[in-house]
Amino acid sequence: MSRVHAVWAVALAGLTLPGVAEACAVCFSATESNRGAFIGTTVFLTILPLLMIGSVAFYVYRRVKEMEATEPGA
Amino acid sequence: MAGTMSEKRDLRLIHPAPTREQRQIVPNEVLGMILFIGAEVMLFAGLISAYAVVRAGMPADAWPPPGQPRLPIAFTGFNTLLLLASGGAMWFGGRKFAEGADKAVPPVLASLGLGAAFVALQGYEWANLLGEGLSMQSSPYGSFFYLIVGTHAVHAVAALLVLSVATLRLRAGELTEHAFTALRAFWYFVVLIWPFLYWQVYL
Amino acid sequence: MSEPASTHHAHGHGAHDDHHHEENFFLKYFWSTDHKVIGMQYLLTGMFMALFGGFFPYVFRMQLAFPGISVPFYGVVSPTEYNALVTNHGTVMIFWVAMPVLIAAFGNYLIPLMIGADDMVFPRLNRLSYQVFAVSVVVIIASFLVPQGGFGGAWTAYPPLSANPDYNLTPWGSTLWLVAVALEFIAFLIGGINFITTAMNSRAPGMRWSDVPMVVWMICIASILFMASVGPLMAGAVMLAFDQNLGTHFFDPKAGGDPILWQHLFWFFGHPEVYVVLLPATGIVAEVITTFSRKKLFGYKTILYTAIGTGVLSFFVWAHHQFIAGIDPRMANVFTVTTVLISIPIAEMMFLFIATLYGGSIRFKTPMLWALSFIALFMIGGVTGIPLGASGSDIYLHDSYYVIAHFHYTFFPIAIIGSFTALTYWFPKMFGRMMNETLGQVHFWITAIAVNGIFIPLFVLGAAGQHRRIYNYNHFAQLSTPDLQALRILATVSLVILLLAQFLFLFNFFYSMFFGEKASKNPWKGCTLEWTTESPPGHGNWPADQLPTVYRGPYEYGVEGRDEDYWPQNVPN
Repeated sequence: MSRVHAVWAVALAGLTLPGVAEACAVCFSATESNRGAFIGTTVFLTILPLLMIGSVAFYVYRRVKEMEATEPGA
Repeated sequence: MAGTMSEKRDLRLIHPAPTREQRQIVPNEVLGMILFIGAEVMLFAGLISAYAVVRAGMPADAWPPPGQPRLPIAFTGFNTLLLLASGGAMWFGGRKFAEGADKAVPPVLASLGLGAAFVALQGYEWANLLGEGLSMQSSPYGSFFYLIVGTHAVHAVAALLVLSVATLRLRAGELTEHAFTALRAFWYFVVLIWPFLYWQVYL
Repeated sequence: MSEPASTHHAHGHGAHDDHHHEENFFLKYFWSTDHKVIGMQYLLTGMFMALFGGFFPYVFRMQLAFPGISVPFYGVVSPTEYNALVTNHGTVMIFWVAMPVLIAAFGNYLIPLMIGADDMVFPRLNRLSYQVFAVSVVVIIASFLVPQGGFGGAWTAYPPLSANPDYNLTPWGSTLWLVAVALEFIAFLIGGINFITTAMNSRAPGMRWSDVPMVVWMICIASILFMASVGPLMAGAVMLAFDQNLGTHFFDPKAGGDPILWQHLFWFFGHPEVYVVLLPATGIVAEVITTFSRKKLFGYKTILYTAIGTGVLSFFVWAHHQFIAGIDPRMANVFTVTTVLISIPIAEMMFLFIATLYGGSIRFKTPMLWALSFIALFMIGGVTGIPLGASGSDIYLHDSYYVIAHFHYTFFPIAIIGSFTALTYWFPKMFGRMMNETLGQVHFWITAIAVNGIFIPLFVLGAAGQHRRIYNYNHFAQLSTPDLQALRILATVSLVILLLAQFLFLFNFFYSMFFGEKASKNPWKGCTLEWTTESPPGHGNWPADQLPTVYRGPYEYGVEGRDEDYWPQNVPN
């Protein structure tokens, strides 16, 4: 097992560590679909801004490259 | 491409006199509008996420709530096509702008007309649904329907008002290319986010 | 939304454009589109709001230390008033002090000067931004004057408490609070668009991305974070306002709503917001540390990449605020890992600052003292956050005074110390005069010691189980012991000392503004572009024919083989 694999294994094992800690026995939502929706929207809301920022940044990067190629040393 | 940065800097030594000319990587108006649209997309993402969470928290037989009117899928589908056509006309207006600002006026007017028809038909649909008993207070179903569609309507109306003023300036030849691009970008945002909302709320 | 400023940059502010100089007092100071005037408006408004929001803790800490007494300059505190005071202390300090001073005031003032531009690219949008902000200030102050007083549902405004006037007892205050916060967000949205566009398009000729001063980068990254995270909270604010006023039930579990939903929408913005105010403060500290240790900033690109990394990670951590609200444990696992992860880039940044200090010839002027205390205090704040980020230990510490002490150890360095660092450093540029150094150092030492006197006792109290948002601890037998009460009194006394010390600063600020020693163009011998123009800079920042050209990075201190130990960015050789 390479060192990279070992690091990944430790990281993944870390994900399971806090699993036993549940604070409130009565206050999570009743349905599995609702919990799933929370996770789904969490992923959606987190990825969306990063995608938008990333694509604008990429567009700007392309524009800079374009301008450097066309500008005669100005 | 390697080394161009430092070469560029050396070339600048020959021209040390600074000017007020900006080296606009992305035109000011366009970049400002892109950033604004990004924030707006996140607003709608928040609304849709809230809707998805509440909808998923409901028992399957309570959504849509029994005894409440159903949303008119076909009617709004037709309306969606109107809005998409409006976006297409706006795109055509952008193409025409290259031939001259006045050439762009007719397609933009057509786009505004289609957009106004969309808003009017949505208003008609709202009036009907209110008459049938679906209100903001009657259930979360109604609350989210009016909230999400209403937020989109506010954006559409605001965009139509601004674009109407801009059309007058376009006709007078006062609207710059970049300002026109930025305004069109906002209208594309209003147009393109609607099918997504339609899919989430109506279907 | 479409500022037709497209032709603005085509004409200059120079000699041929003289109508700006003929304006009367009102137009010059209240209707100006000059970025320096707008920055100053934000600064003074923020300082006023700091006094406003700083008075609240005096009142409620007096109530906690001496329950039931008539507080001098206020009177007896009722439970409803207590709730309104703690709520609005948080709201005002974050949204009306940290944001306007760190981002809007210094962003407006510094970005065009530091990148060598004559103004923002959208000057009229900039003015609109301040005007919307000014309205939000009026609304938040007005929320105290309406029947039943200001909003008392905590600054996080969790429903159903915030949604139902039967619970929070402030039907007017809660709606006005939401309106004020929403207006404030609109103001900063407009401002942020301006900052990013300006920094991208108006840079001086020759200024590459790695020649941009760190504080400009940080304000731009913070603005991007703000704009990308504020949307969901705006959505939530509209829903909450509807719940309050139109009878909808978005967050009401009785009628099918979901109260946890608000917590997600709020903290989706709320946690990136921490980094929105942190990053400009670190940028300011970076500028000051390099100037006063006469050394190049250690790891410019690394700091930049860690800031971007922090920004990316900041979207992945917010649900650690809901660990005990009943979120899915699968989610708690992930958010524990990401929360602990985010301490890595921040710690890296702090170590790079320390590495900048290493081997430098350090001059302990007032701004440098502030910058160093930022690092020291913020590290305490960061380290104490780790037990809160781990969902297991958070269960015991959640909503205790430990949390309060932790986030004040982060926010006090950010909002207060960061602002003082910037103010004392750029004061000569802003007002053309030097601040009094002795008064400045006295003020620094009193403040820096008193802040520890406030919050170290609160760590102890929190670990002893003292819960947040309690009006009177005498109602709890375990929490009303004399030794715990002594700690509360210690914290309150320290707070009073801290607040009194600020009058020293105010005196120094206004006295130096008019009677201080005249400042030269470059009193600290800094390399960045703002030091190449007059103090204070005239309209248009530089004479039209003398706008700077950039030849090198912003931190060329102590370059060997030069007479001076600094090499300004605009000097060709």
